[in-house]
Amino acid sequence: MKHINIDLHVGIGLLKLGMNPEQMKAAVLQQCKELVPTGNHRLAISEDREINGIQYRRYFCNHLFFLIAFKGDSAVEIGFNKLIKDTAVISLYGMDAFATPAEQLILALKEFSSCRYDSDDELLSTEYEFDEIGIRLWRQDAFHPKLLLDEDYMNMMYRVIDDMREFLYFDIVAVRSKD
Amino acid sequence: MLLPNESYSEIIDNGTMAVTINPLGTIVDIWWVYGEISDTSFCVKVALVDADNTLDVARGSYTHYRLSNSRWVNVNSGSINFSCSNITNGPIYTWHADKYWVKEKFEYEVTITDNGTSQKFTNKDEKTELSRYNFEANAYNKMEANGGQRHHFIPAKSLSTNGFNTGSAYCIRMMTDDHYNTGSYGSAQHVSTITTLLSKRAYHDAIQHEVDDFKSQDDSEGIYRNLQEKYYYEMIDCIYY
Repeated sequence: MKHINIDLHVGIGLLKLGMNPEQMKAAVLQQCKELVPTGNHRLAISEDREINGIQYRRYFCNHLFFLIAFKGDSAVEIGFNKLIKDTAVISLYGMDAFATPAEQLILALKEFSSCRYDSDDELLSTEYEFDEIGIRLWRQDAFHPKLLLDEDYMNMMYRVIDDMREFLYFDIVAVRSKD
Repeated sequence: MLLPNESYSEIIDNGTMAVTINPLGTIVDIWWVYGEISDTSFCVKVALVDADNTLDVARGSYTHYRLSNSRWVNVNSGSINFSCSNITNGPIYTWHADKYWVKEKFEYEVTITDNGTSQKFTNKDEKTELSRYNFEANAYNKMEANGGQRHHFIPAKSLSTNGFNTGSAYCIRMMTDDHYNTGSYGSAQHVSTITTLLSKRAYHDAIQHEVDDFKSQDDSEGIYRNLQEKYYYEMIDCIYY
């Protein structure tokens, strides 16, 4: 298993903040080839609509997915998706970003930065932003073991509880440039 | 008259012609070998095109795959063999399996022996792939992901912020790579726009925003023009729920 360190305010692996779209395209392709040498290296890129000067581009290549935000021609956020965990460990302060439960990861990162999250419950938010270290963590939905003891929740979600356990972990780990 | 799977444009795109030629170079028999897939079964079939006797023997194997996020996984941990002799028009082999996973595909290899000669056929290429989808729209708490992902049509965060129940809200079972292409996946900005629209009770605008997003995003497989076309019926279910 390969190891890739997240370099705060710099990038993840070969993908660096400040790259323009052409450089990023080449870097994503190279990263995919290094991580998964075999298979189809056809790169597909999907572009979101620009909102408030920020445009997200979605890169797919050989079972890997990257979410990159551009401001103008410069990458300002680089996100790796959890699909990479089959081929590489994404290391954040020595922790495996996609194999460490969200609660544990958040607690550890709060040692280095303040933390903003998007709901009233810190344990049940979907997005966490650590501004001083430029890290954003995102998951599609929130789950915490304490919900297993919540009768109302279990009554509502018992049928899909196995799918919910996936959300103990983050879907995307992103590094941001300094403002 | 059309052959099975032949279109009026005269393109036959999911089968192969089995032609037997004798030592003099004369065509003896012609059979069409093809696969069919439905929501409940997979079938390898032959159709008589020009032959005056039965097809002697067909032996082969098939493999059933399911999509797990972005990767194909073998459902049965291997291939399953079949054989059949003295075949007339119709099925060589039928495997009954109700659709369950977000996408499934069947690959087959069949060797046909007729009039002393053998020929091998397979559907292991994109043109002859036999696959089926299991997309669905339903309440988030009533539908499993089945190898794909459940995509809240209106983002969960936007719903919960505005006091709606996210568990009973409608979502679409999508292929994982398609879900990654939706505007709300990973993007707080997109979600924020919908949250604001809901807070203003601009429900129609919020739904339209999501419809437009599906229309603007590519099908990860490159088969449909966009996600709106691919998930058309599921989107309608979400809109009219």
